[in-house]
Amino acid sequence: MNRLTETCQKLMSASSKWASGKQEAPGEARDLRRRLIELNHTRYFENIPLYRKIALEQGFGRSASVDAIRQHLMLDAGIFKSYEQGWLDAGDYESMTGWLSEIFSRRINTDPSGIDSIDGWIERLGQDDIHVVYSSGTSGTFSFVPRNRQNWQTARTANIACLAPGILDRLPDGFAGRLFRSAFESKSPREMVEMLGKRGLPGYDAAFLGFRQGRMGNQALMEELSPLFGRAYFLYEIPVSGSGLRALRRGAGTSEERLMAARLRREVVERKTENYIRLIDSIEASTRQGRKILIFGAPFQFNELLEVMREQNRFVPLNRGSLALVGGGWKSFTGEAVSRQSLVETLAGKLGLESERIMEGYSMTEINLLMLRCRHGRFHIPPMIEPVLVDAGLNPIKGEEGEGAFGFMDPLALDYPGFIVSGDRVEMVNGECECGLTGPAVTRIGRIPGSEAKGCGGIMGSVGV
Amino acid sequence: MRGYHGFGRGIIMEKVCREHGLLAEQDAVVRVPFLVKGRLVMPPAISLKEAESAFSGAGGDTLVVKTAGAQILREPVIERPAMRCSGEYLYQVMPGLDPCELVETDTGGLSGGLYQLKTDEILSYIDRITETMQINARFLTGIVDLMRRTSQYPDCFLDNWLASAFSSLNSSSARQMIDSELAYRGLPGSRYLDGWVEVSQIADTGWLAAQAWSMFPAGRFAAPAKLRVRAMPVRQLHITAGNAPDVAPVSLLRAVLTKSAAVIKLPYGAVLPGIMFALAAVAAAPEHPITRNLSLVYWRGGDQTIEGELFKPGAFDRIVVWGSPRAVASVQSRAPFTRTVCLNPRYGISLIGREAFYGKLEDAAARASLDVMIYNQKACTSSLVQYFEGTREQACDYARVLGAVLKKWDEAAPDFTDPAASGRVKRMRRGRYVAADWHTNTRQGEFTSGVVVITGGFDITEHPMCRLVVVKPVARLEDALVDIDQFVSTAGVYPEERRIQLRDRIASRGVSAVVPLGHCEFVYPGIPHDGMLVLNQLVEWKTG
Repeated sequence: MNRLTETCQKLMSASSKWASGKQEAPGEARDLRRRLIELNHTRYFENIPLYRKIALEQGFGRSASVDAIRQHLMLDAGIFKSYEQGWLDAGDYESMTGWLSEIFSRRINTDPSGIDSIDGWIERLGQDDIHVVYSSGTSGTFSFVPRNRQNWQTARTANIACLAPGILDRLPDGFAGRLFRSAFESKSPREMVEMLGKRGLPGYDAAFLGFRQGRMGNQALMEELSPLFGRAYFLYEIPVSGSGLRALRRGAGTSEERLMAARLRREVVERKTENYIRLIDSIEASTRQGRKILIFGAPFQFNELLEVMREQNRFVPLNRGSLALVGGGWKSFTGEAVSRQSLVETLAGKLGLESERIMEGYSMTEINLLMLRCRHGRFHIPPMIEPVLVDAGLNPIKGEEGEGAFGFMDPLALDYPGFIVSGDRVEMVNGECECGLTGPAVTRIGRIPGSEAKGCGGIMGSVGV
Repeated sequence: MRGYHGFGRGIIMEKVCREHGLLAEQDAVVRVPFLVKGRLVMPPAISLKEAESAFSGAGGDTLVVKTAGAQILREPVIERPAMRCSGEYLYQVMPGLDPCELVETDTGGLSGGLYQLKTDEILSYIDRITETMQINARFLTGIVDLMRRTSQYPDCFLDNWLASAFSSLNSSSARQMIDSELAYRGLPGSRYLDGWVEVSQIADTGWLAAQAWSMFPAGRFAAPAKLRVRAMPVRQLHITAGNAPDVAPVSLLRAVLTKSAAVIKLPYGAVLPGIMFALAAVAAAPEHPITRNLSLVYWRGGDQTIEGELFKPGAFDRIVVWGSPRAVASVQSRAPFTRTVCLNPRYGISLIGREAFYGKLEDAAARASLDVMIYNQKACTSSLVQYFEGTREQACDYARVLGAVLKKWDEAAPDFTDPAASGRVKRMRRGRYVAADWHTNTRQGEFTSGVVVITGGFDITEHPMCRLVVVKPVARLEDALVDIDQFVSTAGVYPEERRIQLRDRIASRGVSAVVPLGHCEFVYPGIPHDGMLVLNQLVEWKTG
C-alpha cells in the first residue's frame, strides 16, 4: 500500500466517524486531507500535462502548499471541456483521446479505430479501465471526467463512509435499519460496501427517474445504486446516449446521431406519459407486495411523476420507510424553478412519504462525493473535501463562511485535477449544526451569473423543449 | 416629491445645484435629481449613515435599495491612478418614482403642442442646450470628476467623452440626422417631420371603387386628388444601458429630434451623463414643449411596480431597449403590445488578411487595437474576436505584437479591470481555454489586457470584455464567415482590397457595418445603427 492510498483510507475512516457524529479529533482529518492534497499536487504536476502547464505558468513546481494551491492553482471546471467541439462533430475520437490524456494521470493508449459515437468511445475507454462520466450545460458542450476504475470504486466506498449514517438514520427500525446500523458500528467503509453489495437493501425496491444506463450526472449514480435493490425500475428502459443527447442540443451531424436523437426524443417526449404510467404500475406492484420504495430523480421529474399520478388519479400511498432522493438542481434549462417546499408537501401529502425520508443530494460530475441535505437545511461537506469559496475574481474568500463560487479540493481525485471551482454560487456556513454534524456546509445553491444552467434538472428537462 | 420648475434664462446650472445640494459629493453621498415632464424633482436629504443602514440588510451584491421617497444606488469607488476598488462606496440618492406621472395620456395636447413644432424650433432648442452646456463647461467638468469617482473607464475616456458631447451636439448634425434618417421619396426628413407632405403619385382607386362604378353614380369614388404623408411623433420609452456614457444622451437626442413625449430610463453606472443633459434642458429652456414632455429617471430594471404601469398597452407607442439579452427579452415578453425597437447586445470582430504578415504586422495590430479599445470592449462595436489569416504560429506572432500594442494602451489609458472580468479571464485560462496560447499584460500581478490564440471553437458568451482579444487563425479569411452571424455588429477588415472583396458576404450574414480595420468607432450624423435608421423607427408614417 503506497503512502497516498494509506492516507486516503485513514481519511475515509476519519470521515466515517465524522458522519456518525463522533469526530474525536477534527484536526486529524484536516491534516490527512491536506497531506493528500499536497501529494495530489505532486502527482498532477508529474502526470497531468495541462495541470503542469498551469502550475508552471503560475510559477510552481513539484510542491505546493494547500494555501498556495487555494490561491493560485484552483482550476475552472471548464477544463473538462477544453477539447475542440469540432473533434466530436467530426467523430475524431483519436484527438478526443489525446485530449483526455492531457487531463488524466497517465497516457491513454486506447485504440480509437472504429468508434463512431461518444458512447462507443466511453465504452472503449472502459475496456482500458478508464471510467468516464459526463455532464452537460444548456449549450450541449459536454464535460468529460476520467477516472481509473479502481479509483471510481474508492470513491464509492468513500460515499458509503460519509453518507451511510445520514441514510441509516432515515431507515425505519425494521430489519434493514437494524442490520445496517449495527454493521456501520462494527465494519470499515470497505466492508460496508461489500456487505451492501452482497445483501443490498432488504425490503426495498427502487424507482429511478432516468435511463436504465448512462454516464451522466444522476444517471451514473442510478447505475451504481440499482444493484442494491430487490427490483430496480427505470422511467426509460433504454440507455441514455451521449451522442444522442448532444445531437439534441447542438444538432445531429450524422444519420446515426439523428437516429439516436430521434430515439431519445421519442422516449422522453412522445412516450413520456406512457413511461411514467409504466413506472407507476411498478411502484404500485411493489407497494402491494409490502415492499418499500426509493424514488430517485431530479426535482422536475418528481413533479412530472406527481402530475401523471394526478391526471391518472393514481396517487400511490407508499409503505412506511419508503424514501425519496432528490438531486440535480431546482431549475431546468427552460428557466422553470421547482419549489422545494411544494414538492416536499406533495410527496408527503399524496404519497405518504414522511418529510424526514425525503432526502436531497448535492454533487457534480467533477467531485467524488455526494452531500446530503440534513433536516436543518444544510448540505454538510464531509472532511474528505476541502471547500474553497472564491469571489468573482477567483480569489479565495477568507474563512469558510459567506457567499461565493463553490470550489473544492477533492483528495479522491487521483486521476484528474481535483482543485476545481464550479459555476455554482453558494452560501456557506461553518460550525455545529443542530443535526449533530460539524464543519462547513452549503445552505443555498444557485448559478454564477453568466454560467449556463447545468445539472440533471436541466439537461433532461430540456430534451423535450 | 418636491418639484422645481426651472431656473430661468441666464441662471446657470451650478447655482441651482449648489442651492439644492445636488450633484456634489458630501460625505460619500451625492444627491441626484430627476427630470419629470420638465420638472426637476429633488431627492430627499439622506445622510451617509442612513444610506449605509438602508443597505445593511441587503446582500453584498445589492446595488440599489428603495426607501420611503427615495432610491439609493451604491457604486464602488475606484481609486485613481491605481485604478482599483478602494473598498468604499459612493451613494447616489435619487427621488422615488410614481410611474403614472411619467405616462402621457393627453394625446390631444401633444397633437396641438409638441407635435406641431417645426424642425427649426427643434434645432434651435438643441443650440440652446449646447450653449448652456458651454456656458456651464466648468460645472460639467465637475460632474465628470464625480463620474470619475466610480467610473471603470480611464480618465482620458471620460474627458474625451465630454469634449465629444460638446462637439457633436449641434444643430447642423441634428438636421443631418433628421433629413437623412427620415428622408422619403427624395425629400429630406425635416419636411415630413414638419407636417403633411404631398405625394406626387396618382393613387389607384382600388378594386372596390371600380366595382362600385357599376353600382352607384359615376365619379363618386375617384381617388383623392392629393395624397399626403407625415412622420408623426410617438410617445417613447427608452430603456438605456450603462456600458457607455453615450447611450442615454444618444437616446435622449433621438427622442428630442423626433418630438417625442419621452421617458429615458437611465442605467445603473451611468446616471449622471443623462442628468447632466436634463439639467441643461431645464436651465436652457424650462418652458419649451420639448423640455415639458421630457423625463429622465432611474428605477431598478425589472421593478414591477414601475414597469407594470409603463409596459401597459397604450402607455407608450415605442419602447427602445438597449442592453443585455436578458433585459431585451424581458421587456419584449412583458410589453407584447407595444412596438419595441431593440438595440441588441452585439459585438465587433476584425478580419486580418495574410498581407499583414509581410511587413505590416505592427500597422495591422495598431489599427486593430483602436477597434478593441472602444470603451474597453464594452461597446457593441468593439472588436472581441479577430480572425487572422495564417497558421497558428503566425497568429501567435500577431498576438505578441498586438499584446505589445495593448500594453501601450494600458500605459496611456490605465484601465480598471472589474474583478469579475478578471476572474473570467482566470477561469478561461485555467479552464476551457487552458490549451490556448496566452499573451497577457499585467499590473502588480493583475490582468490588464491580453491576447489569446484559440484554434477551436470559442463561445462568445464567455468573453470577459476587458481588453482581451481572442485571435483565431484561419487558413483563408473566408473561413471566418461560418462564425459570423447577426450578433456581430461591425467587422473591421484589413487590408482594404480584402474588405471590398468580402464586404457583401460579411454583410449578408447579418453584420451591420463592414469597415476598414481601425474604423469601428467612426460615426456620422444619420448613420444606420444596427441595420436601422433609428429615427425612422421612432415616428409613425401616416398617410392622410
